[in-house]
Amino acid sequence: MSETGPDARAEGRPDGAPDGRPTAVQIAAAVVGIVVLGFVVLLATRDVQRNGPNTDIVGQSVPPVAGVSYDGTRFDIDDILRANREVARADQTWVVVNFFASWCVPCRVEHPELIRFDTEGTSCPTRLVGVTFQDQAENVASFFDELGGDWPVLVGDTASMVIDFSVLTAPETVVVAPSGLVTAKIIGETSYDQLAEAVQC
Amino acid sequence: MVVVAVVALGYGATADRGPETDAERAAELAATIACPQCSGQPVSESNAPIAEVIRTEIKQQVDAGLTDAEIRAVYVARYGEWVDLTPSSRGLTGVVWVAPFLVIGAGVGALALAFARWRMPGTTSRATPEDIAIVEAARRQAPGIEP
Amino acid sequence: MNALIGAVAVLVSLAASLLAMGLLVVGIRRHRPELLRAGARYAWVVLAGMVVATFAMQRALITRDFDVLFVAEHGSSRTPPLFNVATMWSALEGSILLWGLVLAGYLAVVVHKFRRRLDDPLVGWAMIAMFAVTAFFMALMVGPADPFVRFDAPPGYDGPGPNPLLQNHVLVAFHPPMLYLGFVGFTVPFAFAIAALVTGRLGEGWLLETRRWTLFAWGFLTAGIVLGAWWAYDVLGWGGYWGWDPVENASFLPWLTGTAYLHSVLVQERRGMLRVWNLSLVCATFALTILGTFITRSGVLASVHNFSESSIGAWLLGFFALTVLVTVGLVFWRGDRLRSPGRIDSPVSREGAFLANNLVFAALAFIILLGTVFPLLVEAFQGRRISVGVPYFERMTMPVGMTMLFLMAVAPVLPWRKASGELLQHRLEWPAWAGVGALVLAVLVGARGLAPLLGFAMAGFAAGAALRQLVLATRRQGWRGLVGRANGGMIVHLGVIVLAVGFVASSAYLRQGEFELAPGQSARLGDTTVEYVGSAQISHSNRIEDRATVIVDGERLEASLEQFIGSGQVVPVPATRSTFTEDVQVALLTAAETADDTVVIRATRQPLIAWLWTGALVMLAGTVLSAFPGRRHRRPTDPVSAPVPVGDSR
Repeated sequence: MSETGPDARAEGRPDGAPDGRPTAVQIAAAVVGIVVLGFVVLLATRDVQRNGPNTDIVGQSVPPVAGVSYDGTRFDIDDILRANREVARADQTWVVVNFFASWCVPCRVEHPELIRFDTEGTSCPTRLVGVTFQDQAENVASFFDELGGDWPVLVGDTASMVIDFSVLTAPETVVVAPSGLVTAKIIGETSYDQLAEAVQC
Repeated sequence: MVVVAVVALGYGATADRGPETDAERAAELAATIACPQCSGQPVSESNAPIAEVIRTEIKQQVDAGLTDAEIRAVYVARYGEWVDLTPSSRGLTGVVWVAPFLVIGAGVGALALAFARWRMPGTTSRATPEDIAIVEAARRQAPGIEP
Repeated sequence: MNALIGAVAVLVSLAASLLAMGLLVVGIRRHRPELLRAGARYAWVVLAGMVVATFAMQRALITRDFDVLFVAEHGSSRTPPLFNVATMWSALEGSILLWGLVLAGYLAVVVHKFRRRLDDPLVGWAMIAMFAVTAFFMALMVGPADPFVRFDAPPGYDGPGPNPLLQNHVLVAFHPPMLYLGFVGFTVPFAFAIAALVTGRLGEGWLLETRRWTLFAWGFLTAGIVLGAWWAYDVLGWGGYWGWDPVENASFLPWLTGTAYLHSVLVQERRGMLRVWNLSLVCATFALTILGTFITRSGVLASVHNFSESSIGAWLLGFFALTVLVTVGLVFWRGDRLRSPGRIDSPVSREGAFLANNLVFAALAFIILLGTVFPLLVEAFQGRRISVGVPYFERMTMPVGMTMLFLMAVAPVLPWRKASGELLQHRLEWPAWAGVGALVLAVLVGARGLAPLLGFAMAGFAAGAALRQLVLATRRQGWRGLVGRANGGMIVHLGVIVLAVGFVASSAYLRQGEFELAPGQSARLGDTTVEYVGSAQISHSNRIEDRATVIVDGERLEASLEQFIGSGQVVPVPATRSTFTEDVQVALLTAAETADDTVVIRATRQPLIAWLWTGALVMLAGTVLSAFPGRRHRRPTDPVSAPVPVGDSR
């Protein structure tokens, strides 16, 4: 083992600049340190990312809600809005659009509340319409057979409605004023009181 | 050799890129839009119901003849900018596209500078006996490497 | 009982690591070698504590001791035995315990390996660094991630069991331990880098001596990452295995810097250069493992892998900051000694290629890190939320990957110091033909598209170069031509190339379709036939399985939807027909409710998936082969590093 390794050679050399000026390495170290520190501050000040529900639709005019209900009747929100223009303010109809699915548990929970809202109504005229979220007409039919309620529920291709209303998952409920303006969006299960409060004429 | 390579590459790259069917286009789009209910997965890879809704809708939008940009814009408008998995190249977001090139450029520059400095006259450019000894030692250590 | 044993064992480990640090510091300051030796021996106490704590946790899991909160929250009497063992690392506290166990294991092995050199202050400082890291993780287990919190289980209580995604595939039992063996293994080179900086003995070969430790950690990390990809492929049912998810990226970053280090340290070994750079890479690798754990556990970045979020994030972030600051501070302090001697004569040389390699790896790491954290940057500056997803990573990493393959072709044939044009031409002729051959073959079997074809050509080129080296080496040395660092390295290269080809082909030529089928009906996906036969419902201890039998190209496959009792979560379990050239995966999306009801099946067809796993196996085999020295090496530290006398050491 008589060979001199590269490191031995390196050791033999006087290292470093004695003049006290920072070397390139020192400058680089300082820069890296500052950048990483900034990075840590950035990470430390961030919140946990969550997908909040999107309620941007509130305050905008209602996108089209039209289609065929599971029992074959047609529904178009425009019919109601058009009729609204021809009657006195007190007689204008509010529309509540409920996105729901027979497989969703909270939908089952809120269903009695919706039935109450549909039958009792509020001081002003209201219409309730359901829109299926990833569901089949026959499931909807048996759901309503089992739990009651007889408002129109649009089935079939509802994808564009779901997306127009920025719905994330069922249930979500949207309140539409007689003018066609969306005034509230309720995420998750709703209640009679909540809806009655949202509908104010 | 070069000819063979160029011909093969040219043929493979141009000749029938495969008819891009609507279904394939929809699938490609679905891979670039984030499922709004999930954590970072594209709608093409999510079992969330909303992802299925969006996949259905994308297929219809493709059939209806919308362009990729128009389709993406729909979801960005409805669910927020973050559902577009491709960061925009404008504004601050553009930095993510440009910064890597700057950094790579800086790296190449630094290397070039280093080589230029090493090549500067004044330092020995011929192998010293020490160097030869090192190479010899290295060769003895790892005979698999050719001189 | 288990909770008490475990908690005490963790405390013992914490106390032992703190005590050891104290002894070592005093020993170095006062030049008392006996203290150095005594301090290091506490590693065995730390290990004993961790083993006991792990046993206590496993015993609690196996006996379903719901007095331990962790078991009550993540265990269940219905979980099958294997997954019951793996429940330990299915959630935060248990995985920190696993981390602690692995770390204590490495600690003990280091003490054993260096038992004759414990009085060297450099080894002393390395031990201090390791004990400090250990103490941090023990403190986590005492503080925010206590695995042994008590729980008052009401009579008849049963837990929900681990996350369903974590209890339906056997790889779950192996992926995290492998990953941790990799992550934690980087502590060893890091500790020696810190010690070299503190003692100022940077010219010595200590960093080189830890190369093999890095290699082991790297091998485990490789295995861990690939097992994770395999798990994702088998479990998720999208034909995907790598989603550029923040957590996946976080595990890939230390792999990149570690790989860069494994290459560039050779330049230091041969030429004594790049000391700072190598030190930085080692320290960066370690810091990135901590950052990765932070990203996984804090939830600041939305990820599929956020199985658990907790307050531990702040601790990990603080530790990451501390690690970086200590390193940077030491480099700054030792800046005057870090000046590299020597020079590189020509960019067209082995050293030049290693520099280019490092640039490529650094660029890749930068792109991935930037893309991963960029949404946070934008949010901080503009308050809006954006995503950086697969399209970005694919577009940006593709050219870098191509460059890497090109370097893999050219670098192995380059000599050290300087290469001439003719020499290169001569040596690269054969590999170049291999590249053209691969390209022509790819075109002939129907591959199309510029990027994939370029990839195949580069892969052929690189494989040709690696094979050429191996053929020459075996011709000269017989079977020894396959072992040792350089030759083993070439085998690793071959593995990477096989994996890269699998990656390019499977992502470029994926075909997918969803079909609604009644029993007896079939659908076609390209020239693959998918026939639905029938369904059955099966009850297991922890889940109800809806199983659909499907015939794919004559092979019977069973794809299921499993509903877990406890969480109620429904998880698809896809089935795969795998051949060496092509995989067809079927996933059941909608189960049949009656015998003649229809089902919805997603079929995914991807070529060369098997090459991913084969490539990874070749990589691991190459790693093992390169860890065996071709012939007896002297230690890099031998000639210059006789223990510096500390008091009356010998």
